[in-house]
Amino acid sequence: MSQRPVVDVVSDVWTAVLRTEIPGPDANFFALGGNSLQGARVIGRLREELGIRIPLSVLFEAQTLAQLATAVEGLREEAPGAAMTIESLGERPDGVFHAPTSFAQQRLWVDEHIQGPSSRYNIPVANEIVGPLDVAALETAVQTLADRHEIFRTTITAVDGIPEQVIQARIDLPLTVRDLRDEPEEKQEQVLADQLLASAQKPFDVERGPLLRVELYRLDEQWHVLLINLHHIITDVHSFELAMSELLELYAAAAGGTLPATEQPPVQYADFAAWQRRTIGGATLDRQLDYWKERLRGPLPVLDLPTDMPARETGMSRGGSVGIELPRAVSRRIRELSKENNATPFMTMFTLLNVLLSRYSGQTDIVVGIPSTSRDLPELETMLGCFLNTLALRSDLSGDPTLTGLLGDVRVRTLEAFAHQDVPYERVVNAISTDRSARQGPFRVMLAFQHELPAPELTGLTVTDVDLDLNLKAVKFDLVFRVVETEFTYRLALEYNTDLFAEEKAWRILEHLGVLAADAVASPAKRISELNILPDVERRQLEKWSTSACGPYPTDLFLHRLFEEQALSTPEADAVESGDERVSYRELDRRASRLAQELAARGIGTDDLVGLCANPSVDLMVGILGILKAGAAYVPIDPLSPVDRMSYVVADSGMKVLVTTPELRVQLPAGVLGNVDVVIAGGVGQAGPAGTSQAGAEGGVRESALHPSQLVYQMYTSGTTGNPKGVGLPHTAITPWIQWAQDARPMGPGTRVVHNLSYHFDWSVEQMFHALTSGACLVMLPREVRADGPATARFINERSIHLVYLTPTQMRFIADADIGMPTLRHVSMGGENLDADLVARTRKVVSSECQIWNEYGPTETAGAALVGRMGDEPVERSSMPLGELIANASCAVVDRWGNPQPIGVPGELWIGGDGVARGYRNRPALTAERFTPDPARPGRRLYRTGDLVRRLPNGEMEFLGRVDSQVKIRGVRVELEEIESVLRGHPDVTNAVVVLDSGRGLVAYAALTPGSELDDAALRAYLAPKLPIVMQPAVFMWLDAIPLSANGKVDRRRLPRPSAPPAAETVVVPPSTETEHTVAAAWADVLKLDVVNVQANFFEAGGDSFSLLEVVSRLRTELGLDIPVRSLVDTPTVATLAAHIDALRRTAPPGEAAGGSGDELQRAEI
Amino acid sequence: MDEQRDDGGYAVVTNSEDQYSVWPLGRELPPGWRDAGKQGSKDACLAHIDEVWTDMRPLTLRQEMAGKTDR
Repeated sequence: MSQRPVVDVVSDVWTAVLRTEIPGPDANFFALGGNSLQGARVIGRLREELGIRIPLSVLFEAQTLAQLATAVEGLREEAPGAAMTIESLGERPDGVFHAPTSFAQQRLWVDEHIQGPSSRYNIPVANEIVGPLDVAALETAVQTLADRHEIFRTTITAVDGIPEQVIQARIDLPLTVRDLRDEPEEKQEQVLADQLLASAQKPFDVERGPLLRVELYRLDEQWHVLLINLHHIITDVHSFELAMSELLELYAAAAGGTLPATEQPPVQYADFAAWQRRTIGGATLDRQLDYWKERLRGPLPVLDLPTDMPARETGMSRGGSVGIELPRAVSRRIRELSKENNATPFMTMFTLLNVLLSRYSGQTDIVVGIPSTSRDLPELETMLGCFLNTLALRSDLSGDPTLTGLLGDVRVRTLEAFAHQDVPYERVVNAISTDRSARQGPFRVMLAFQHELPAPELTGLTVTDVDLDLNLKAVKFDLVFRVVETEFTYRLALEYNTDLFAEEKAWRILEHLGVLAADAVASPAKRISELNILPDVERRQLEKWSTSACGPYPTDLFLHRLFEEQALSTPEADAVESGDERVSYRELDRRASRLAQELAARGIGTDDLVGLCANPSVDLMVGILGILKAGAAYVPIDPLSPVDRMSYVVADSGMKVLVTTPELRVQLPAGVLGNVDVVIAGGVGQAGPAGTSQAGAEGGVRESALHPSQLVYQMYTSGTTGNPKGVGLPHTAITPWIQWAQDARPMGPGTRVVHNLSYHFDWSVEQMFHALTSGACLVMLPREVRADGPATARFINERSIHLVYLTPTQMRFIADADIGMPTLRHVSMGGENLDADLVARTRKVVSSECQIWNEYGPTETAGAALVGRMGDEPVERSSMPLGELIANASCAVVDRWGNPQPIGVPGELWIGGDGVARGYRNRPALTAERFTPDPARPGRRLYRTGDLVRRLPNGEMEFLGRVDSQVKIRGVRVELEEIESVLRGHPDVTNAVVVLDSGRGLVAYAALTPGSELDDAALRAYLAPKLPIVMQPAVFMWLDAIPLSANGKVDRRRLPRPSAPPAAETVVVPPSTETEHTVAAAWADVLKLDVVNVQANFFEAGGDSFSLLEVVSRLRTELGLDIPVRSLVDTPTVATLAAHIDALRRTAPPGEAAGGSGDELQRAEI
Repeated sequence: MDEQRDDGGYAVVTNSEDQYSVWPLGRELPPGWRDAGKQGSKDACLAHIDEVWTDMRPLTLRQEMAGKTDR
């Protein structure tokens, strides 16, 4: 042990590791450019010099060299232990030598066995060499490398089921030369690329080896490509770097005529593996595991990534890769910012990635994986082999911290993690998993940070990297970010799962990270919500999409004036048809004016609210137009609504007058109206009440249309909780919408529009006024026909209807009637999510001339804000695009801070423009909360819809569900609409609704075609291949019909509740056969179980790949049978494994049995 | 979708039509809106709005209607 002052020792170690002069005791490790890998080396060397183990965090917490020295002295007094060093296993024998595997090797080996051989653990690197290459010298160098390092002579073989390293004393490692000189010049490069790719992806056989391939492709005398390909089980990135530089040194020596020495390093990977098995067991492991259990305590978040394709439980997936390079200035600032915060560039990049993921997902609890290499002993610094482990780092981004604040937090967590990095990742996963059905580990995203491999330098030769286009390689995670630190920049590469992400999205993600990095390092005091992630091009594109391409339409009009102008130009045309009654435009205008006079006489004027209670009839239209002409706004009171609701609406609106019809007047429940004056619509002039002032009323009416910001209607919407809210819409909001409808679907006298939407459904305004401001005839559908599909279809045919507005639920009833409707020219659906299946079904019952529309808009903005015309191509999607903005509407798709979300990233839809409602009556606070300032349009407001949408790259808007009622099952977001859509795809299912029941899980309600014999089992079998397990309904409820609300939408509150779940009861089935007893005993021992249920799953009972090996090994020994490692994966219960073993016994020839074959033979003879 | 901050809060803002809303402190005021002089937590701001926003008609309409009455 050194007796020199600690500060001198530390200074020397810094000098050696950082390869720079140390200015003095105030020097800062990070200010001198230190990174975490160098930090680990410092720790290792200090341990060697001083004989104590120093936590990495001590190095990071010490601001200066002097402080570190003081801390180290303190530690030395506390724990004066002996130096920890790796001892050699001793002299190697001449032939074959066995050693245990390291934890990392064992994990890779088991994974390879379970998944089968593939190229996913290949690490290929290709270099182009231009100049006079000495091939013989390269051959010598390659062979010398293998002679020096055991790891290149190592294979892995199972002995009694447990993998061991098998090391040959000598192997011949050839340099394979592939001559491409005779290939035609124009084909040469393609042939080279094909061969490189094929070789790079050729699987290794870990039992046979060698696990290293070196190939030289000769293109001409002066032009070669060297491909070095290693299996991960013998290397990691740092080892590769070391091996490469050693190979080049050897080459230089061999080319120079100096025969390289073949001296082996004193300790090698086999020594390390044996040491790891000896020392990192028991207490150390348990203590580290406790840390991870605490850090990763559930519930663990499941990151909501902005995927392009829906998630499927596929296990291994294909991958692609894209890459960018950060500008020098940004890269320099990343280094500076790291130094200023005593952090490493890795920590800064990790912080930035977490910010990006949080901005995408809206989540603040985020877990990201990082690879770690435990090389904190000096002898490990230069050792070749696989030291890889994985750490799951959890970050807390709640409370909108500043970037530097978050970086400080990340720094602490990272250091803690490094101090607990010895425990194998799989052990951690196993310890924290409670729900084993997913078994995917705690994260979907990894960040790998590495330093650039030094460009190989060879005298007389030019060596450059060759980009191997390995886009087909398999990926284990959804996104892997690779950051390579080069001399001046950072290169960012993103490997993505192509089952989930389109290449375009991968590019965008990297771009966002680049923009974020630039903004963050320039202003690290910003809160993470204030950082920019959008490139200018994307921002401009989003701005372009945020305003309507059609219009703008004038906003100085009054809705009823548009009708009056139409009545002047087509006075004799039919305006309304109800049963046998037909009313012309002139007559309708006259009746409405009479009502307006009547209302004016009762003191009704500008912006007053007047109740309207009517059935679909001529009087309904007289009522609406009359109220508008009086300058007032109508408040629908549904004749069928409950008394309490009527009373509430009357009281909340403060209405003084109610317009109704004689037959409804007598039905109105007593007490509802209080002091409200009742006026009979259409009754004026027939049995008109006394006191109607004829003279002067006309003038008064005209004057009451004062300003188009006065209201057209106030409608009451039901939230999921609380009382209904009265939403008022002004003329400025409504008239642009109606003008748009006329442009989009021109109509005139002779065009017939069916009136089938309730007048208390805001969308009905488009239906009524699209017709009545264009000369078309509004044909009233009797209320009792609305819910009857076949009757509605017949009505459409009998009355020669051209245009129908309806909800998808109503359309489904009509489509199911399977009655052709040749007169229809437009079917416009709205109010609910529209899926592709319904579009297809609709096409079957309408003519090819008929256009199908999807209209979207909340009550708080004028009827439709976004409208899409459905294409003719059949598509498969659970949600049809909402289409484009119409009629003076604008919108934004934002995160929870109001920042615009990038293309393809879910966000809340905010709608602005002229269609925005005045607000909620009597609810100023709620209005202020839901209607927010629009930064893009001075003084205007945006309504926060609460709907979750995303922009598709083509500009279309896709509806994803409600923000506040996102359904999550086991942490995975589940789209109920998607399940409904799949259910409706079954030919026997006419309609389906899925809800999440707190007790029973997903409940599917299905209405079937008459005579269908579909049952639970058949429907389950149908759904099984179409939906992931988390999306499979737990309960099916069979209904004659799906209950509907008065607006024609599904009424979820009227769905019957499923009965209580059966008592949770796990039946433990004890082992019965002899084999089952043997297997159960092995489980009980290895998994430390008291009772083994032969039907329980091994992995659910706590098994992992480590315990799997133990069980297989035990059974092999006890039964004397060569049981494949995979068998416990394929047959994971005691019962199935025992049956599998019995089957093996019957078929396995005695000679193939492993070990104890005599025993086997004896049994066979009996 | 709303995220509360550890510190800092919101301001009550109003536009030329006397319509009210809230805006996070520390962010540039959106054009066409001015600080109405009340700051605090979101709930406190909304409670303030409940008190002061007594007439939800836009100012232009109110003025038009007042002019009509005057005549």
